Amino acid sequence: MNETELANLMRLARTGDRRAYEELLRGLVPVFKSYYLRRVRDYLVEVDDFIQECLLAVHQRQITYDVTRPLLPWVYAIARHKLIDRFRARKEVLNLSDIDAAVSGYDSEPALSAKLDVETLLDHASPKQKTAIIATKIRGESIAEHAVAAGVSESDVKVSVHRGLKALSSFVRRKA
Amino acid sequence: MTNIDEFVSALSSQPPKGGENAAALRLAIGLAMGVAGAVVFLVLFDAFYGSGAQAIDFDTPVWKIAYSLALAFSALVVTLQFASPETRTSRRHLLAFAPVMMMAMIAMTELFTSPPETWLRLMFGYGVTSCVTTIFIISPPIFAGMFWAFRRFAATDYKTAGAAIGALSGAMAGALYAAVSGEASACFVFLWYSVSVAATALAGALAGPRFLRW
Repeated sequence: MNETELANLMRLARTGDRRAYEELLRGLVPVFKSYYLRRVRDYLVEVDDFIQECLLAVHQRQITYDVTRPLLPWVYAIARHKLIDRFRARKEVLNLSDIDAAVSGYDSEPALSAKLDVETLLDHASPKQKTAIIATKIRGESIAEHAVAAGVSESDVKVSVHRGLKALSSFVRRKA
Repeated sequence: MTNIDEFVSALSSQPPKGGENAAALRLAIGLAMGVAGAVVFLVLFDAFYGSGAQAIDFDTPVWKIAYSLALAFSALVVTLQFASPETRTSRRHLLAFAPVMMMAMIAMTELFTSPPETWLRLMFGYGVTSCVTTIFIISPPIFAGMFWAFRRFAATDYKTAGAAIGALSGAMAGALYAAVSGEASACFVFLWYSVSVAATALAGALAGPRFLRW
């Protein structure tokens, strides 16, 4: 689920929509999971604890989310706070030699904003073109790999990527 | 069904209530309850110990209350900034210096346009101790109201958020005390109201890590 879908679910949940709220919480589970799997390699058994703590924090403190702002930075801020709090409670320190590894997967706000911009931009391509662009240009899969995974021909993938990029560039030119 | 599935099902059985303005409403309720409590504390404190309070005097200079309310507003802006987990780079906290600077200029003007033999009286008034003590003693209900509001907020910088809550509590307590205090010197108000707010801000910074953890 992307930023837009999650933010829409949060808006619906705030109107008391129970189904949207459940979908939102379920949609946040993989977000928290990927966040912690990259950062707490030494405590993999605790990832579920972290996820539950974060879901509870979202539940109890959702009033602090400002609907005029993107949702994911708020969600990541909660995840980051819970992680720091756990380290603080254990009085753990990080060796300076480990610092590069610790910050390598860090979602800084500019990086996150860039990611959100790309997601928003890709919404202007068709779903098929979007999937092809994400697979080949962002995840780095080859045309052949994506063709097999998507069950389409290689030329189909090439055409989707080409048309998708063309649509995005004309959208950017229009906005500029 | 995994633990997380069960957990999500349990949480989603109670979707959020209150809509978009829930945070502002919660803050307003906390502040209103706190101010009401502070009024009760002020009446009790005056009845038992005498705080130098008088019946509300409608000739009380408005700027005395305005200074405290301006400090409270600045503290409220900073408090709101630290209520959310997101780190935002903002210079809004510099707002707090605007009323302080303005009051400092008024106080200096008052001091330098008065004869030197009156300076001590202008600065220390008739009851420094009762002013600082009263403001400090009547502020805890406002602290309590704000900490109650923060039980659903998500401060990550506990000390700064606590200091902002403390400053807000002290400034609101100062506004209440200003309405009943007989002191009318700008030097006195600038010095001792500011010191009182700084003291409650310090108390808030110390209490923050204990009461704002989530």
